Amino acid sequence: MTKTTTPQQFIRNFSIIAHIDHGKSTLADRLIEETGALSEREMKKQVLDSMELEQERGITIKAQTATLKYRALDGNDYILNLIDTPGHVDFTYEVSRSLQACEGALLIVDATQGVEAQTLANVYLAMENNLEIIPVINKIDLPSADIEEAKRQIEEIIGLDASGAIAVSAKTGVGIHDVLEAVVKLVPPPESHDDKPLRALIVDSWFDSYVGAVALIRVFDGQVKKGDKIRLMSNKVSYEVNDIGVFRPQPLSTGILKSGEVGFLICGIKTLADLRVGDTVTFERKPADSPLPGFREPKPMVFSGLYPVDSGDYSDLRDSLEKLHMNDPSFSYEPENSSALGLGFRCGFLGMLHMEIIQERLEREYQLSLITTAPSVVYRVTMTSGKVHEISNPSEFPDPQAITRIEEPTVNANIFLPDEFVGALMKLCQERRGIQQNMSFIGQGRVMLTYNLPLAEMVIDFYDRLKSMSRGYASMDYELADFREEDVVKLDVLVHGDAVDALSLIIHRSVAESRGRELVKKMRELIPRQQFDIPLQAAIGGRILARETVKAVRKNVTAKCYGGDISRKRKLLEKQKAGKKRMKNIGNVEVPQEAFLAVLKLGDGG
Amino acid sequence: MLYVHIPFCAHKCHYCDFNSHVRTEPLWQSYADALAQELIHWSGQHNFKGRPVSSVFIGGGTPSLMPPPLLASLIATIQSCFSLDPQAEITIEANPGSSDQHHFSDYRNAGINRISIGVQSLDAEELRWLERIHSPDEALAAFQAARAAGFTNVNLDAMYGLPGQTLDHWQQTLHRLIQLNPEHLSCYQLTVEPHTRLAAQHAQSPYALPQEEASLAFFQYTRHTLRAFGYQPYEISNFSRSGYHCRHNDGYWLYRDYLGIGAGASGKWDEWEHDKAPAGCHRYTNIKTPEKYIRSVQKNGFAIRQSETLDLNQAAAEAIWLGLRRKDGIDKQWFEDRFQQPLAQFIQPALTPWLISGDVRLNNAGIQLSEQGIVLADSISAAIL
Repeated sequence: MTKTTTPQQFIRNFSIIAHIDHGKSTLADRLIEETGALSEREMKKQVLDSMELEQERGITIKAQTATLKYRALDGNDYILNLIDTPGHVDFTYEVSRSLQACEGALLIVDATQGVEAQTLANVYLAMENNLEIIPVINKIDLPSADIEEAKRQIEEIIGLDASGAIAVSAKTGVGIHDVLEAVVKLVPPPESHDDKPLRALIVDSWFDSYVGAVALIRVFDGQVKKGDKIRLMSNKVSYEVNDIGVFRPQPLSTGILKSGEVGFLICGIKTLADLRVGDTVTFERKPADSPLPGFREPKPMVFSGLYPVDSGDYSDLRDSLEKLHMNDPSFSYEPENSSALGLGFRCGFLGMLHMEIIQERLEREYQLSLITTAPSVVYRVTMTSGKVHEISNPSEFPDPQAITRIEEPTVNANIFLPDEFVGALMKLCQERRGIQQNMSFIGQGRVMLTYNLPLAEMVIDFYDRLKSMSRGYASMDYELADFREEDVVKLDVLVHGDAVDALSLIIHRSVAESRGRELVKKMRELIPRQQFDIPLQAAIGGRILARETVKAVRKNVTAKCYGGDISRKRKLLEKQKAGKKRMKNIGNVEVPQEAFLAVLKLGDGG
Repeated sequence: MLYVHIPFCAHKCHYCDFNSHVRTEPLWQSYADALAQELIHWSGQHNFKGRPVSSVFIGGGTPSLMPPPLLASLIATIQSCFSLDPQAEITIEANPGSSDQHHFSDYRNAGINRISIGVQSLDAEELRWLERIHSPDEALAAFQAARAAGFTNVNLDAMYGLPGQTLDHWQQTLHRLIQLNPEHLSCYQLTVEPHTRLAAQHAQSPYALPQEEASLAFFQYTRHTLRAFGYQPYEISNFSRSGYHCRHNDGYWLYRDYLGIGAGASGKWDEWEHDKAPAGCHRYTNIKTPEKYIRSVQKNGFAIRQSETLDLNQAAAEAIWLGLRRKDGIDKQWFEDRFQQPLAQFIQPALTPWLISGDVRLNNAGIQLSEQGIVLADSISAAIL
């Protein structure tokens, strides 16, 4: 049965949206299992999170999808296209593209947790895309489940009718059939536009080492077959379709995708940069007049320097970045030269999580040992000459004399947390130069606060601090807001008397002194004692704000070493040495990797 | 050189990371038989066959728990298996409270000419904390018994840097030890070794152990004092009257070959291939549990649990690490003959910063650590390993 002639009225395209850990992946697994798309033997737990890293972090980074066949109670066979969405704030744009490809969404709310920050953020995205939203209350098997309260919160906080909410346990399978029935009954079928010129949305794309770039597409108008000549509307590049089909969830070639259908498209494209999420696929010969709405270039928001610990690994790092970039064109990289760290790259990321993921993949998949410099955001600097520069690297910070004004990006953050932590949160936001915009009590002792915060303050361990001050109970989501004029300065760090460019920060003047003091104190803890005293200083311009000293080693000698101790004690000393290899020599001083990110650790243990 | 391990103790002290075991009924006879069998096995191996033995060290554990007739036959077996130098240094370790003076003269009769007594402290409270089973008086009595038995080469082991111990406390113990006028003193700083009960306790609620500065003060005080009383600090923790350094232990730091016999014992031999390029060395360690050791020897004649081979450069680096523990350091001629490369080149650039700082001294005779360099021996060695 390779022909997919199913009329559109039997197709349902839907996503699952949820706050992290509310059970999205488990529900997706259960739906796949229930519709028999995979046999139980093939069923790996949380099949949709296929990347190694995702399995470990428990979050979905790259959206994937599955086409499910379901015979409904009305006796008809339906094609249900489940489109997975990434679950983190850094990937809002990807989420919105996934939702654009759907007509409906299952909104999961954990019956023990209620509505959280990402629940809200995702619901708003679904509403913007005019989706039919079906509330699903999950984890009803847990003793602390409170279905009525979850419903109340959906109605009060989100303003959605929750009377028909489906109570399920994705873990035990209770209610899964009701979910499938609701998808069939409530999600509208896609409109039929088979006769129009082809327009298909690139929902997601990834790189496969065998076939090259793979796109997940949703066809809105017309149809596309194997052998067709297609064109990407953003850059007008043309390709021939090599293969086309659906995911069940393994790829299955069907030779054609018609309007309303979801599946993969392979054109022998070598680089993902040509298959950009949100772009529109049309025909080379009879192109559509206009692309589907909503496409935008990924815009890196957070920048940091990546350097190999061993400068001999520079070309390996370059090759690895190149390969990784084929997989994820949403990060940017360009060569950079640091006098302290040598040759490296300035990289731009969608957010902090994105930055961590890229670094981890470089270290894990490409076995590179890296030094990451403190993250920075993009500042808009207006010079006395009237010129406006965008600065994301402290080393490019202009002479303060030549600056008229500096603006920094801000975000609006929604934070949900138990009311007992409100005082602590307000203190944290105040320290981080936040402006409160809204505060509402949402019942059950919980509060939603909205703050406008500088992005620069968010990238420096804000989320970790938020989690630890609320003992893990706070949730947060944010969206970019306006630029704000602020008095920011460049803070230098001197190691053994020399300013180290890779340690400089752009920072608000009001916090420069206290942050500088904490920073050198933290670095003193992170830099091991060496052969001589090492002064550490924080300075603005030539003015020293703070000073600490890493004292020289005074005594390091093994008391006992006899015939039976030699192998073991030699290994201990070799370990000491291996630790040193992972450090960077700055002048005569050996600086460990962590010290370059000390600014992210100011919250730990004072 | 020959090391024999006796793995039994009356009590396992919490800080001890040696291979020692408490048995209600130690398997003395079968253990002694296994030692003899292992000796016979090794004496037939090409690398040890017919080699002269210049020192024997019977360590533990508590070797002084071993019935003297078994000790005597052990030494007789050694003599029959190897050509034991008539001038050989033969040492036994004894713990006060586990030894009585009759045994000491038996040791003399068996040919043992050096005794090392685990005094550790002369403060009753410190001894209790260390879980030692003896009192200060028993420690002193053990020393007198050694003298009475005719030992003219006696070592006393002592420890400093115990929790809450002041320099004053340590001074008192050290001075009383000096007054006894032993030929040799080993003074160790307490080390919290991994996988000991002490390490577990310390991790749960840390003891007030001396920090770097205080520990440095203990170390330097000990060296200055002992030197003033005529004891040469010939190694980091070892001090002796002139001519009385422990030849056996010195052999470890001089990179000599040694055979280790008994449960958990270690051995080393150079892989010196005649007429070929110089090679590295080989190290092994025996099975630790006495019962398993005995079974393995009964079955195979030996009981190696793990072994490793070091190449020429690894061995040379190891020789420098161990040699730098000695006050006299590493002899240039010996190093260059043994490893077939210039010493000055081998240690650079790894040790260059330490040569500049003066912590390592290089001259025509060889290299050694300066008095300041000694306290940094591990940092320096880590650079070359």
